[in-house]
Amino acid sequence: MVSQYRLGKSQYLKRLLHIWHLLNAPCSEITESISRAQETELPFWERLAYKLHLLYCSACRRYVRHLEALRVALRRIAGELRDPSADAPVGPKLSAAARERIRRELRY
Amino acid sequence: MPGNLDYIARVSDDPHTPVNQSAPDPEQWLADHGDALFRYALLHVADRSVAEDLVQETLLGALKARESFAGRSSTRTWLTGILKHKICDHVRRKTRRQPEEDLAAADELIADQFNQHGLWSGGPRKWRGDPSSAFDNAEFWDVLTRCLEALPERLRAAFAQREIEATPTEEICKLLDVTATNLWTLLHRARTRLRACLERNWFRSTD
Ligand SMILES: [Zn+2]
Repeated sequence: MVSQYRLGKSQYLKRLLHIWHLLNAPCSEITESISRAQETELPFWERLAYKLHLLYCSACRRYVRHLEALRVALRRIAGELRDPSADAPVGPKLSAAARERIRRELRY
Repeated sequence: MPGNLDYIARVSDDPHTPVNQSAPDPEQWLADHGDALFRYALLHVADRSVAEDLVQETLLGALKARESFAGRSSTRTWLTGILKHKICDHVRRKTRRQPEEDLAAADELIADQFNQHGLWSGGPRKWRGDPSSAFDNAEFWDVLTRCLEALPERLRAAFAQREIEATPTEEICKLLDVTATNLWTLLHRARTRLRACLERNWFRSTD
């Protein structure tokens, strides 16, 4: 009984230490949580830790904003490229040589 | 990999596009859609000659499959769907042959962005302009292509599938033959490196 109690207590301490570490995670670790949150639901304490971090860290807030803006821009441009009525005038084009090569290939 | 093909077929079925004309002309496809397909491929592979080859494979594939194109979607949607298959084939071929990144080791290019305490060193700066309007600038395309090119194949493929295509993570894991945990690491590295590269070469405000 006593040993079981001790085991439970040390696991409890381990858990507290883990939470303490999460809540003190530096920007380098917080950005990992921020990124992973896009793919999966984070455990409660990790989610809380990065949300608290974002309250006081303006650099990480920018990191989030930049990634969101990039995602929006990339999805928008991909959408426009799928839509022939929205053809953008600027951007890379097939070279004349490539165009000619493809035209020849299509004739055979 | 059938799962992925199903997914692509599903998203390219757009019920809102009008029923298309019959008897499509492959050279007209090239004229009307060549540049758009090229740009689309370039966002994924970041290499002009690979992108050109993918456009060629797409149009040749379309020519072979023209009978099955029932005009359920627009020509552009149909061609883009074929291109996405070709991109996945290309990614599978390339990443199979390349050694896997050592994900246990620290990524130097990311470590450089932080000091020894893990705090940003010089951190994300205020950006001039908005990424959405940056695509109206031909020079931005060059910068973006170079930043994407600088990423290892697996990082770039993971990033493009996730951020551009919004492909479910399980599909990307199958495509790249990696575990979910490794995919999370690949995506974090790709995002963090690409953000820094674009900031350094384009978005950093001068003030
Ligand atoms: Zn921070």
